[in-house]
Amino acid sequence: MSRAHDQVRRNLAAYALGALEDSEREAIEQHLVVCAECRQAVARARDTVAALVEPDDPPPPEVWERVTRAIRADPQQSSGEGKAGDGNG
Amino acid sequence: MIALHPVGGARDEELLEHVAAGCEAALGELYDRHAGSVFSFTKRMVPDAGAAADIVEEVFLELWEAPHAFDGRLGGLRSHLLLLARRVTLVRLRRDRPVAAAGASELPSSSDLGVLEMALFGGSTCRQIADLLGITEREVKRRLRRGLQRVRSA
Repeated sequence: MSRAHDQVRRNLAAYALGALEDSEREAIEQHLVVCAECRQAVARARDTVAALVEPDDPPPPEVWERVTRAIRADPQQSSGEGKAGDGNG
Repeated sequence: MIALHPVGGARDEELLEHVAAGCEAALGELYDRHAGSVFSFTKRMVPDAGAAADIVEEVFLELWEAPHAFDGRLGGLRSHLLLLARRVTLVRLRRDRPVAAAGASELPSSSDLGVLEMALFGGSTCRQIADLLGITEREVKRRLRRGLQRVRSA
């Protein structure tokens, strides 16, 4: 357990960035199932990474329109509700 | 249009529960909150804004299809969406153009933050960065840790 714990700590930043090979990632994810402390560390690292991405202008309006068209074509999930401010519905 | 659920003040996790129940308005609220970040990120990864927008679409459709793939114990929804965007982008890049992501083709800096950028916006793995810079993977991971610490303490 402690070895896996150490491995997670060494690879934490790389894991949060999605920069590990599959085998390394899978080993970490197995450990995360049983280690709340490491899950918290991963959460902090991931949120730090996310903060590096500064939001700018939203995507063009047609992107959301394409999303809604695809959703409405899916009979399992569609509820027919629109996004607030969506003039397309 | 009036939503059936009070989505505006809800937390992301609550909205995801509504998404899982098929509430399009909840997805719309999450889109309003996070699409700008996802778009900003994908534009850093791919040079074409149209392709970046396509990736945003795919990310939110995947969120719609698999809302429970998000595990709030491992960070906020924004970080989940960015990782999703990274994966979608890399799949597309490998399919359309079997070379490294756009960010990785730029002249890399081997500094801690330079290595961090290569992993984040270049879509590179530690192994790829190590090969590119002629250093060990262990050293790449060390620089990523230091880079993240610097960002956190800034």
